Amino acid sequence: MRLSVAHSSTSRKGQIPAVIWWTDFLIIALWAQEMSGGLDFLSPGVLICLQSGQWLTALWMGALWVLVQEGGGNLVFGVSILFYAGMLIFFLLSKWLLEPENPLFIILFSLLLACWSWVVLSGAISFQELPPRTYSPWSWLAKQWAAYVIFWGVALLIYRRGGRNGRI
Amino acid sequence: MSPRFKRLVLFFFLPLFLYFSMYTWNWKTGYLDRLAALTGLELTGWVLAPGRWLQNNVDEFWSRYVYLVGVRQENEDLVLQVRELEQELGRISEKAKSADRLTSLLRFSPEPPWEMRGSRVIGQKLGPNAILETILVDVGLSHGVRLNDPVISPKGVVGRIAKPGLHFSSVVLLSDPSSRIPVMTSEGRVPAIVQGQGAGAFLEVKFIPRNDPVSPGEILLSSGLGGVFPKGIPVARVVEVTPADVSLFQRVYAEPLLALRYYEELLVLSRTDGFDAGQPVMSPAVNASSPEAPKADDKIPAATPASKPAATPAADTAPAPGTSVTRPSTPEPSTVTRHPVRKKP
Repeated sequence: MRLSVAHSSTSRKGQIPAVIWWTDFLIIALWAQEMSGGLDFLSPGVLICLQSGQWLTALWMGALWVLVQEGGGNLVFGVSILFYAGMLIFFLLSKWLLEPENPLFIILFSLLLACWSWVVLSGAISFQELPPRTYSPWSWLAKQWAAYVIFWGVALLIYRRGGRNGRI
Repeated sequence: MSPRFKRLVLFFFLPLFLYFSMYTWNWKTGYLDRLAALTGLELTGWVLAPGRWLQNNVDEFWSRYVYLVGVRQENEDLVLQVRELEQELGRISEKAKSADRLTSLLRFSPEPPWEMRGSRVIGQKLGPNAILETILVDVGLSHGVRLNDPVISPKGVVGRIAKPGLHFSSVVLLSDPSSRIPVMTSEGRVPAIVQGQGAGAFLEVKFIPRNDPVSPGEILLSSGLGGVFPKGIPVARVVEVTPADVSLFQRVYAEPLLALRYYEELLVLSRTDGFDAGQPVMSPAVNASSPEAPKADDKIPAATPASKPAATPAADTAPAPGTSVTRPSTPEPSTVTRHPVRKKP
């Protein structure tokens, strides 16, 4: 089973323009972040771009997501850059092992990403001498993992059906 | 130099060097934090604000025009309450006038002027980087809000501005472990520091000497020390006092007077005399991202003396006997529970 998008140079009738699609994605992801109490819902957007080989889109989207996450957060600027850089490296490495268009890839990579997010945030908290988080890492990891899998999977399916499948 | 080594330098050491250079440069200057506050925080605010506005209007429509159960009874109760409050206001305003006269007679320095503006809460935790207990409000630098401005509700202190954006600001709550507020007890006037212990946990009241009087149920008021909060605003209610065994200080715990995360409208106080409240509550680099707020032309008029919280020039002035204090009449039950160590029972 392949969930990933395929390249297409021509847009079909009835497809959602890319700008509208990504704007909608941003709005829904930000509301999801707000409602979930601090989980990350923006990263799947970059992952969809990486899966479909849209490197330029992934680049500007990553930059925008960094500003959004850093602006809404309380940490010193730079944590999100580290997170997205790690995500890119893990994605490139994981591509050697698993087919990125496979649902299993999404499930396993989401787990890896949730762990990476916890590690980066914990490191930043410790480095910046902030009070440590009081809640259990396991429940947070489980929630973040589920959030990545569901949001990424659903967004990818919708993108494949309604997206422009091209560069923005 | 071998090509392999060149590649290692190019793809690993060079990005790492650039990253740490950027990180330390921003830690010192705070430019990128400011950029993130003026772009990312703004974008988030503009995305969330319309939805929150719609939600508030739907709620308001429902409660005003549809769900009218018990409105008549509530109205009668409120009329009675207003009469009682009017009587009390008349009595207290006489006391306030006499306090003013005594203050001028004793030549106390005048109270610093505070300006009050309303704001709506439009967001809570805004992503994985929102580590502290924060909320997002819809006022920012363009409204005259500055870093560290106190945020209160009619019932008491909520927190203070931690990251001001152009039109939206992040508020760190009283319950966050990085929040420390100088307080004094309402009866014994004992000075102390209230520190948050995280969401759902009691606040810790530090540095109350073992022989000083403090009892459960007593209200803690902001002492005004440090100049961040005006003097006399209710902060918390003492819930537990444990006498010290070997320590010089008692173990005292308190709970906020309001459910901090369930407020929709808040008040932001700003000093109009240009006093800088000092360093903020966050890490050094985020602290550095505090541009001086431009003074807004369209400021909301200053609060009337009756609605204005009592404020004195902080610090070491002895508490005046007639100082008017905004006490919560019927503090709402807090959602705070006890922590395992000093938290939830």
